[in-house]
Amino acid sequence: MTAVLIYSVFALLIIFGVVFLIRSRRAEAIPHAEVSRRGPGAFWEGPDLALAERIFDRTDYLWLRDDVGFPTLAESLLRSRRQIALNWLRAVRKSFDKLIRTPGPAPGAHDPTSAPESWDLLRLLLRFHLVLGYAIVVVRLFGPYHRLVPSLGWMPALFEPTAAREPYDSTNVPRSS
Amino acid sequence: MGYHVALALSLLLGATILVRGGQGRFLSKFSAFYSYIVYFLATGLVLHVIYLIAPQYFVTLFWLRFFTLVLAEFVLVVEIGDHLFKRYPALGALGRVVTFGIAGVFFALYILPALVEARPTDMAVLDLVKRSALTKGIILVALFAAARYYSIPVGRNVAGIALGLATYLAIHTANFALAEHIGREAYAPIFATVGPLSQVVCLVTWTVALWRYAPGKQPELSVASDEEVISGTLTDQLGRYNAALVRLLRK
Repeated sequence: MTAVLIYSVFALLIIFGVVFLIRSRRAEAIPHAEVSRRGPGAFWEGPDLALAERIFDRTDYLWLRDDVGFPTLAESLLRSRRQIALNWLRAVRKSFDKLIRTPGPAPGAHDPTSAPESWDLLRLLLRFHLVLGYAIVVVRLFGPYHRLVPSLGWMPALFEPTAAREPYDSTNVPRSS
Repeated sequence: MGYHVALALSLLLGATILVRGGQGRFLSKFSAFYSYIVYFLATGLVLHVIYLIAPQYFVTLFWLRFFTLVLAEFVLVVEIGDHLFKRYPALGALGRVVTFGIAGVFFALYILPALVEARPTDMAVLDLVKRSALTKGIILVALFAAARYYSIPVGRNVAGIALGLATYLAIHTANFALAEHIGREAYAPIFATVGPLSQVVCLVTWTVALWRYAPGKQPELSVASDEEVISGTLTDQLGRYNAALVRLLRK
């Protein structure tokens, strides 16, 4: 009898889940024309990048704790920086998701996955969410000054794409002055 | 008798859906869906004729048709996923990944163990249909959850196809679970009514949703600004996000 009840609950969840997701989506129609207006590079260019580097830079924390000798104040700084880092990571995800919603030209009746770049784009999408999810967990657990990518050097294919395959390698990213 | 009334009603509704699609010239927009309807109509008619002229083959052919339709429903789910994300290059393959990913995991962990279990054939069939219906229902919910996460607008036609299919799958899941629990003999009268009725409910939903072609609000293609032109293709932009994030995290 328990199995029947469980399956009945699942059946109801399927109907109400689909209805809820369809209805809520219609009510929250978003202005797609506004997508990407600011430009997707905002998070790694100029002042934005400087801010991000500042958030993850432990120099202030070490100076307060070791040089000046205010460990309590340093811990307070660490806590506030942790929150700022989490907010920054969430903002990056929001910006990335907006970029993802950039519409393309209307496809014909053909398979939308037939375009060769569609799988490449999906790989980048999944990779970004994987790295960002990992970063959020590490920052939440250990703070922003923990070395976030400590042992992933053995994954060069994932984190160090070759220049030939990926011209957007990190070395091409402009640094703040 | 009730089954044949429901079958006749289903055929009528299926024919209406086809006629409306033909009149509106949007049959090719939902090719898998209309292929499913054509197959549903053709095999339904054949089944009806077999019942009249050679009833001894009816049960065998009924189950043959039933299992091919169970497989065809999976193709419908794939088409729903494709339609949801087709206007977004970065998400074009997401529908396929979600659909085949969940289907693969559920097949390996949920359907396959039930298939290899030793038990009477009728119980195995009931269980197989129940589990496959639940799997497809979960895939539908996951597809619309992904669409909601990315704020993808859903057109009336796709929403209607999904809603009709979800209703049908949900009723199937509960109906087959009850049949398995109560026993085929005792539950047979209800089972024989609920099954065809769920088909009629599904076809009514599809008829209403596909009465006219309504793809929903299409996302506007904004004129690319200088900054966007400089920033290159979407692939480059996503790549820069990844590279910049990784570089910051390695500091």
